[in-house]
Amino acid sequence: MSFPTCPMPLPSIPFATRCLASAALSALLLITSGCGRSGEPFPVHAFLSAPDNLQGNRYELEAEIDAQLNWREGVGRLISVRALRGDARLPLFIGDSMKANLLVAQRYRFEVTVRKGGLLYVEHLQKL
Amino acid sequence: MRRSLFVLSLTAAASLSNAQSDQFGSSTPVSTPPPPAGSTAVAGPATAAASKAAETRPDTRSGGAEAQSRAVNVNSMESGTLLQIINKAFDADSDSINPETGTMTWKGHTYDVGQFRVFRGRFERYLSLPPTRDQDLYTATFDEIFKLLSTRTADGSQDSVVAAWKLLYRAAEYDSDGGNSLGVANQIFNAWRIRDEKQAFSVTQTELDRIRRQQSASVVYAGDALAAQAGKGVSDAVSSAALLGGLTTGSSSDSSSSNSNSNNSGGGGGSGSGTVTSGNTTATIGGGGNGNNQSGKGGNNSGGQSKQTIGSGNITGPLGQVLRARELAETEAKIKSLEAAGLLSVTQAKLQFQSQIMSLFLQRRFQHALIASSFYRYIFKGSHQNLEVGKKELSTFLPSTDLAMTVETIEFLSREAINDVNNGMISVRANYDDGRKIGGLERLQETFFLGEYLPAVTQFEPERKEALLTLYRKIDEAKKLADLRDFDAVLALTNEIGSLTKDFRTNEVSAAVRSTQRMSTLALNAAQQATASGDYNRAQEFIEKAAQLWPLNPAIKNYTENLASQADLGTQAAALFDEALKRDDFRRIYDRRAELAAAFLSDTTRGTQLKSVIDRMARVEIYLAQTEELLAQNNAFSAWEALAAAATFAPNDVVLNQRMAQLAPRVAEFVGRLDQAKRYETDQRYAASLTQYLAAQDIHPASQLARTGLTRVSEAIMSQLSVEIPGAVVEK
Repeated sequence: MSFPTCPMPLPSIPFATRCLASAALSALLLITSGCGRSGEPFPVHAFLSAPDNLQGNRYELEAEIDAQLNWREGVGRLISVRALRGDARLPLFIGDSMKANLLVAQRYRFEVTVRKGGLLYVEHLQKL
Repeated sequence: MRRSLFVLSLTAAASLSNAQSDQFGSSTPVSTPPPPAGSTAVAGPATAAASKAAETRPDTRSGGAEAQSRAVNVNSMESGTLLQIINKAFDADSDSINPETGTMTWKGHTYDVGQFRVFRGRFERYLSLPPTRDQDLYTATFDEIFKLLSTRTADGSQDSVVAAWKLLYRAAEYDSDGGNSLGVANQIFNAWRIRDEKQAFSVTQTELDRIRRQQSASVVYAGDALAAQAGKGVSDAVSSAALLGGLTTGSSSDSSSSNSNSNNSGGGGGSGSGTVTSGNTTATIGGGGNGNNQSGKGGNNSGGQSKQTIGSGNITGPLGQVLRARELAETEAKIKSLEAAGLLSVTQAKLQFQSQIMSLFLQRRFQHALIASSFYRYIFKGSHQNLEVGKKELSTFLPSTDLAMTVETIEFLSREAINDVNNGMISVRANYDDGRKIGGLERLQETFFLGEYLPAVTQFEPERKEALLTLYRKIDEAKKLADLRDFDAVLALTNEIGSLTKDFRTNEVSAAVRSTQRMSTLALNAAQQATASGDYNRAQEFIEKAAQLWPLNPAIKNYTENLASQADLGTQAAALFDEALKRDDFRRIYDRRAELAAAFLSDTTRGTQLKSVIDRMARVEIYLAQTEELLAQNNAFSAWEALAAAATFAPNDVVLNQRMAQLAPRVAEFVGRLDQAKRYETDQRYAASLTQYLAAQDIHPASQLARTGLTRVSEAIMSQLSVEIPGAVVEK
């Protein structure tokens, strides 16, 4: 299961055209707000107390990279991050397909999905 | 010629009789009535009689000279020979006491001192008894006796001998004499009585000799008369008849006379009888000397006097001659009988006296033996000094058995014994004064065995005897303790003895005792090793050896007690161990590990299990100690982790769980996270577990449990994702 990545910046076009396009996109976002980027902050305490309740959900988590717990080539890396809100450490899995260069203490905004067993699977990340 | 030969033969017989009757010493009185024992009043007549007898007999007047000559003789050849014998025989090193056989050997002769325990008791009694009362008076009495009997200082007169004999009765009254002086005095009295009886025999014999001479002359005269009347044949017939009657005459060898006797024998009547008694004797001889006119009467005794009548003188002719010859033969028989009786009495007296001397010597009554020997010398003459009894016993004292044993031999041996005893007592005193009381005690014991009845021993100083008795008893006690192998008591007693005398080898005794104690301990150690290895037979051997060496070894007692309790513990310990192991109550096993280890020495299964439990609990104890230290540092989370690590070895340990319960409130959240993480991990919900471990690590960043949990769970997650993601590298 794959999710659409963030749209790239549009090429330089006349102002009237750009206005029309923005209006059209806004309308589209409003239409597709239930299945696209939620932007909902990750409920840290709820996850710590009952992770099973969050399985299948998608959240946005702003956190600071704490440590890399494990890495397996071709699979991905398992890192621990400290949420900027909540001060709790959470484990995240980042697949190698993300081709991300991560360093400890870097802050990112992660779009995560709560998978079975409570694994936080990073779908998208953006450096803050 | 025949008559002269007949007279010569009778004279020879009389000389023999005199020689036999003179076996007593010629210096002794002829008829000295021995005074009764202890009676000095009778001594006067006895002495007077002795003096009278000495006057009547010329040979007795030279008694003093003979005594002196004997003394010279003693000091000349005989004494030199005996001195040589003594020098060879008396080996000063030959004295020995054999306690096993109860004998004491002196000069090669073995004295049987009876049961040694009894004899030792006598020695102890001697040491504890005070000196004999009036011992000095007793000794003075003996000295006086010796002086009166001495051939050097005394004059050898009968008065001195009798005086010495009286003193024997006085000496017999003292306790230390033991009545032996009375025995000697009685023996002397007996010898004197026999001597007087012999003297009475001699008087009677003299009278009989006179009668015999008359009878012989009568026979010869009557024979000559008959020959003159009837011719030579008749005379020969009478002579032959006399020969047939038992006469021993010079004509008995005449065969022609006996041939003609047959023609004139037979018939005849009348009788003649004679009675001869001792005392006042009157002999009346009728007939004889007058041929046909001889007449006489028969014997007639009245008023205690005897009268002998040879009554064949009134019978003439051949018949009378036969009767006269018969009377002569009877007289000859009486003389022979008297000679035999006298000889027997003298021999008996000599043997009895010698037996008593020998008995006194063998009883170690050397002073009495000396006195008896001196009396013997005065009573019996010099040719009777050879010993007839006790020669075999006496020869054991001498190196050669072919030596002549005399009374003087006993005398010299007795003097040598007395000298040895005196020298022994000098040695005892020298040792005592030098502080060598052990040596003094040994010398005293040897001297006592030989000279128990001598004044030198009996008069030993009481205070010295008391000191030696104390030492003797302590040594005896130490010996008994050593026999019982009570070495501790022996050591204490030897130290005490060492303080009493300087010649007691305390160090040697102590070294020997300690050596034995050490040997016992070594044997016990070997027994313990054998027991540990399960070789009980060998352990028993070593135990027996240890007990044999030192039965009172305290280590043996401890060992046996432990062994007994160990056997009992064996069954109890097995039940306890099995039950505790079943409940995982390792703490109980660990607390009694020592006794269980001893009980399971031969139980390999339980022994292995016990070792495992002890290893576990040892680690738990280490963690518990570590917990204490961490708590002291206020590091509750690490302390908890230590307790948690310990719980893996003994999850049911009461002490551990108590500590964890006490610590739990302080680390509740941390423990909750770890517990949650563990449960998630167990449920293979690794992501959730990872989250909890991270949360726990947030609480206690140094947590080892969290770190290891993170590592373990993260690896599990990666493994799961490797399967799910295509193209992932699967690690093996």
